Amino acid sequence: MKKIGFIVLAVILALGLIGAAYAAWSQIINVNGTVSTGNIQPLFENADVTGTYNGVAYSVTGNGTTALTLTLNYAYPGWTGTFDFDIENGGTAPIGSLNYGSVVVSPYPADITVNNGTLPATPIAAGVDVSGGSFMVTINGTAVQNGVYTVTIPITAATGP
Amino acid sequence: MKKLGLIVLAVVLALGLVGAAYAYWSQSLSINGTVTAGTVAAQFVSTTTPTDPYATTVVTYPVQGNGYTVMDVAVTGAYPGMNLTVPFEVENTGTLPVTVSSTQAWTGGNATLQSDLTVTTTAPAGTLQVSGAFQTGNGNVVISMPSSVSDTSIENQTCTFTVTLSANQAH
Repeated sequence: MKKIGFIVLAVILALGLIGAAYAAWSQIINVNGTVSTGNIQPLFENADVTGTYNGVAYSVTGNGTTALTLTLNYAYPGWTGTFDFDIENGGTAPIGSLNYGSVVVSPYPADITVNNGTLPATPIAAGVDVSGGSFMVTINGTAVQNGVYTVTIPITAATGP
Repeated sequence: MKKLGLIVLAVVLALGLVGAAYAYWSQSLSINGTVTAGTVAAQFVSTTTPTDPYATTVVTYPVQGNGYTVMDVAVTGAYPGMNLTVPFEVENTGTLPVTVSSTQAWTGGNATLQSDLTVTTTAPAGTLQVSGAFQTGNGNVVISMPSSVSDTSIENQTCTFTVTLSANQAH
């Protein structure tokens, strides 16, 4: 009986010690964080508006937007023209990279070649306009008279510094 | 009967002597005790605000009663590739040495943005003493978003988190 009493006492003492350890004082202080993202908004700027180049009339629309439309009239086989443009970041986050995608020419892909593409240097900070974009259009010998071609040149802008 | 009477007298005398011994002079001394408990207390010390070329961070301390116990961090313009370190300094203002531990949790906002962000807290290391060179300790909160994030649905979104720092009695 005495032995049982001793064990019970020991257990009580042990629990008491554990309780004391957990009951040590502490104080809480907090860091409250709010994170808001920005956005990127690449815009074409300063592309040539209108003019004549080696007998071909051209016009460009879409400055200040995300789609630039280049129209060539009276083009002919052998004609080559280079067009320049800027890209402005109208968003709040940096444009980290710019890349050309695959050029699509219809209805006859072989009749027009787009190459020598360059792009403005990145990163492009918010609100900044950077020049350096250009591409060259060549009308190939297979082009048909009075043909109407549509050329799509995709450019992908991605975030990151 | 006389013999019994003698015995009784002897007992009475003996007791009388004992009584005399108990009647010696005495004086009491006392110890009065006062115990005042110490305190565990900690607060933020104002530190530098991180800089980033594209994101803006504003650090404020909205509760300034007994020191800064709340630190608000507002980051705007976060973007993929951002890696922002927000430093903080904790000062032991109590009477007991403390160690500091941290936990953190998202408290609201865009769930997708939460999954794309990483918030890592490093609490001040070691024991913050009650005075001297080791009374304060430095920690930081790192807020980052991998550059591989391509989901544009999180543009112009907001989420919130809380880092809870617990200053625990060290001894």
